[in-house]
Amino acid sequence: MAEKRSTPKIEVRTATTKDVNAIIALSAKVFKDEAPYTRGMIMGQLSAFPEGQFVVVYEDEIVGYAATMVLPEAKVMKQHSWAEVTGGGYAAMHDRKGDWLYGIEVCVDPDRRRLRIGKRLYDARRRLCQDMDLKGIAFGGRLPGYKRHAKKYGTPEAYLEAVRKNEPHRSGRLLPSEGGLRAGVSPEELLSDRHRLRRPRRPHGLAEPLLRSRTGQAAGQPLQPRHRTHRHRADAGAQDV
Amino acid sequence: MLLSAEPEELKPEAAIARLTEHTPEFVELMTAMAIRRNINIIGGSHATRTEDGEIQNVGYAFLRDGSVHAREKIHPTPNERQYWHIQGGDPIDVIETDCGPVGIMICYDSEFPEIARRLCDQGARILFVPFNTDTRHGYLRVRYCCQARAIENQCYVVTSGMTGNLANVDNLDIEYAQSGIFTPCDFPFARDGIAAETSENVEMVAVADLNLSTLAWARYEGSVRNFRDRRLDLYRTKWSDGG
Ligand SMILES: CC(C)(COP(=O)(O)OP(=O)(O)OC[C@H]1O[C@@H](n2cnc3c(N)ncnc32)[C@H](O)[C@@H]1OP(=O)(O)O)[C@@H](O)C(=O)NCCC(=O)NCCS
Repeated sequence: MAEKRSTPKIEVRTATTKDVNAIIALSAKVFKDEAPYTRGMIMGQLSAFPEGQFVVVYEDEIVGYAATMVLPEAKVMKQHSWAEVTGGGYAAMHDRKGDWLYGIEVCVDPDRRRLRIGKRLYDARRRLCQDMDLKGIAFGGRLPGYKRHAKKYGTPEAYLEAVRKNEPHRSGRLLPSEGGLRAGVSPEELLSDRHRLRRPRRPHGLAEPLLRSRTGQAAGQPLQPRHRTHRHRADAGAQDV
Repeated sequence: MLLSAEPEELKPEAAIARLTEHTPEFVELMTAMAIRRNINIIGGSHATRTEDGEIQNVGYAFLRDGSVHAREKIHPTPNERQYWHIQGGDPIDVIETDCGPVGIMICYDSEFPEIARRLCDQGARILFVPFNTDTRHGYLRVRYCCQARAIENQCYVVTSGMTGNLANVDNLDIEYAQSGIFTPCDFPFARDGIAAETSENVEMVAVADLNLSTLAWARYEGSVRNFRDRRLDLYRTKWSDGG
């Protein structure tokens, strides 16, 4: 008789403090040339909003992590930076009375990509969003591929629109492939200070976009970038480290 | 206390070096006590020799599961540096306990607001401050700062200082303290933001029940919401470890 597996091979569950070391190791593996998450940041996320931090365990190994918080609409829809709304990654600004789920982080082990692990994490977020009766999920992300296509598309906004239409070869990873996607571009060059810390300088004019998605809603127009109150970092030509 | 039992008075540097020899015994004793009594103990701070031979001022938490957590003092005082050659530590991290994450700030560290804020960002809701001050001035520096930390982070701050005299111990001979358990200042807390307090410079025990959900209430519904009303679009502490 064929051997039967009684325990699951792959599992999505909420993270606990016992997972902290594995999450740090994962983040170091995924973001190779950046400072990995610190223990304190993960502890902060776990204690601010334990229901919102998910891991994927594949064959007893932690291969995916998604960190989440809740924010009020005013903060989400306003031009913002990752460091600002997440309090530098600690999630201390989690607002249990807010109306949007906000994605702080999602990362998947490079050796376990394209197994729908990212998708599983996103589904976990989506269930949480529905359970909590929130308006939707918002997150900031990078726009991979923009650098390569910058000449062709010019502004990040134009590139974003093209990605939405599936124009360039989709190395732009837009995870929430189902449901409506509303997106806008943040003038931040790099969304997080954590990301900024150990990064080589970016070429002139490269902007990091802010994507906002709303689940279960028909695809809308991309949000127009708001009035830019801050000087464009890349335009300024200097990056404070 | 251990030092005053020495047969003759040691010079400050020799005395602190001698004190480090007691570390293993101290740790063993307190760990056994935490298990036997089924309690979590924040065991004050103790001069400890690190692997590279330096002497640091280290606070210890002995948890009822038998684990021991050491936290180094980040800022040695000019006096500690001069007389005892104490070096400052670098890591600033909460300790995970069965009562949630807690933080330890040794004495002078409580006078640097960035430390408490980082610990509270990491989820600490109670900060423990063992201290040793020899004058009322020194004591009040710690106390005022701890009360400020409790208000600005909307957390509890528990202070515990040494009182009385220590014969035979140079540089630690007189002590002044009035230990207390401080709260944010808002309706659900005691009127003066003091949950419990000892008498001035008398050795005694202070007891208070601290309710963590009252802190959550204060952070969301309180008259002021210092912890969450921060303007992170304007300012934020950047740590060298990326935190
Ligand atoms: C983005 C990331 C989480 C995706 O993880 P994953 O488990 O490999 O993704 P999944 O297998 O769940 O794929 C989900 C969808 O994205 C698509 N996708 C994933 N990687 C892709 C790639 N490199 N190029 C094009 N499409 C990709 C999949 O085809 C799938 O789309 P579909 O449902 O329409 O078929 C992972 O690549 C990662 O950790 N990247 C580095 C961290 C990062 O950039 N995080 C984003 C926030 S800053």
